[in-house]
Amino acid sequence: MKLLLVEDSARLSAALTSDFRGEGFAVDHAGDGQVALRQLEAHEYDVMILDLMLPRVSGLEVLRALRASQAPTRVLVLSARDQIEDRVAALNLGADDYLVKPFDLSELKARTLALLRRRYGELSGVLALGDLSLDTNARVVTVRGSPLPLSPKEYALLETLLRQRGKSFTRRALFERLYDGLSDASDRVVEVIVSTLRTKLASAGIHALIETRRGFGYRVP
Amino acid sequence: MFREWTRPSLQRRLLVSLLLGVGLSLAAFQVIVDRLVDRYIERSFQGPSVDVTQRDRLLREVDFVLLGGVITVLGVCVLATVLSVRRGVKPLEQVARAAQEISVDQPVRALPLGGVPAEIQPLCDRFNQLIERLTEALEHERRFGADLAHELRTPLAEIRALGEAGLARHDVAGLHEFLKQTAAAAVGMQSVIESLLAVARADRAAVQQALEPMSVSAAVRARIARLSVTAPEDCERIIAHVPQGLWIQSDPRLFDAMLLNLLANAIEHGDPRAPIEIDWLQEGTGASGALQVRNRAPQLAREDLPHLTDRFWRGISSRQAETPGLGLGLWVVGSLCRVLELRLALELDEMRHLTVRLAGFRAL
Repeated sequence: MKLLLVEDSARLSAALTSDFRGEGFAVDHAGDGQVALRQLEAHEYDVMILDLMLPRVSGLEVLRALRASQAPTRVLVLSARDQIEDRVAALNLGADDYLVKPFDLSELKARTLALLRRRYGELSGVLALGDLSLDTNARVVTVRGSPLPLSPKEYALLETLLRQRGKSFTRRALFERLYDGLSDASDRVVEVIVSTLRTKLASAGIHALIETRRGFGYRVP
Repeated sequence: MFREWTRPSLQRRLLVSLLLGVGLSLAAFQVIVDRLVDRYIERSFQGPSVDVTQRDRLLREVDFVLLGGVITVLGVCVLATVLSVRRGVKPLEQVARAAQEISVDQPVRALPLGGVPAEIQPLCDRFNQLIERLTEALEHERRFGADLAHELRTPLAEIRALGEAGLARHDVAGLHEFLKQTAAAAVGMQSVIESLLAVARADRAAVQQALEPMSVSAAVRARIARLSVTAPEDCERIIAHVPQGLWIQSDPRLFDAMLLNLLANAIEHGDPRAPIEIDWLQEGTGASGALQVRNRAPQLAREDLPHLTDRFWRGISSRQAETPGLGLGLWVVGSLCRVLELRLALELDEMRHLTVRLAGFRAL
């Protein structure tokens, strides 16, 4: 899942980026509104966590531009401004959620996951397919009730494919969703992740879950 | 009741004066008219065939009519006075009511000026001006409170997020870095709180009375030493040119608060590779001097200078660009300069060197 964090506090960004990456998110960071607008033009994000008081271009301007572009990105405003009028202004401009600083990290993660579910029209946080079950809240995968240990990237890849079952993702598209913009890895790393994921699934008795469609990429039918 | 009546009252004073004035005038008028009528009647009834009883009765009737007239006129005057005074002092009652309603939570409305007597109009005008200033001040404080909350919430959010994210780290190096960042965020928060407390506690009269001799070079050295605990690399860029043995009359605590904010501002918002210079400039015959801090500020423009001492100014300039930060530091310096009766000057040269000068220190 790809997340854009727009926050001018370097310390807060470091903490959030580290935590979300640990959960398997591909996190891009923008320290001001201008960089955020460039990032939004270049990539499609599932969720954007947006501060309001930003250098160069304000958070509300970023939000306005995003909504004008019709991008489906869900927006969680994370601001120290706690006045009703600030919340109303942000929500009226198209924000999906508003959280006031200081906040509980687990609440921020829960709200981010809720926005992800809304983004893909899911009611619960569990994606199930046969014996396989993926809990997006707990970030765990189980096969017939037994936990299947996956790395954050393997988990993120499986979640992406299960979230949009039937849709084929090219190697590049999957790489974009799994890695942040500053990553210097090659998109061939996706092949490695698919391979290790298939092996782990096979060892748990799940065979041929991920299809390779020549010329189209990977999908879960 | 009697005590109530003895209290000074504009209405009662007017009433008593009117009663006395009108009463005495009417009494004098009645005496004169009475005499004239008496003389006329006596003249008319002179002669042997005059009925004295009839004459006396006529005289009494004239007296009653005159007395009745006086009492009626007096009553009408009293009523008219009471009504007109009541109407006249109504705006004062409104002022009193409005003053009673003034509270921090409730906006106060200005008094309506239509139909207000000319004598009371200046008072109502002044009251409305006072209300306007008070409303502005309340709004200012409300904004300040909201901005302050923002300024404190951000480092608090940093500390909390760093702590919670740090708990998930298992590598010692990563954990150490998180702890370092947490400590730095706490120092930033402490600096905001201390700066605001310094301004809040600084009372001009009290400070001016408590000025004491202090060594400038020792104060500068001590500040740099304390700053080097949290920003050792940045402190290496600080070059101080302050003469040894220079003593001034000032408040050491406020001097330190100003220097801390100037240096923190230069470190946080200036060019991270350029030196930060502290100089002492002698003024005139040497009886006074100025402390100057100079650093390169590539993101600043000349039009930003008037805003640098504004509270929580975030750097929105006519260039449609924003320089990061610049929140409290120079506002604190400006506020403390006013308390210490110093002159604050800001300059930006062609090479984008920002010079902040605090002039008017009394040298010893």
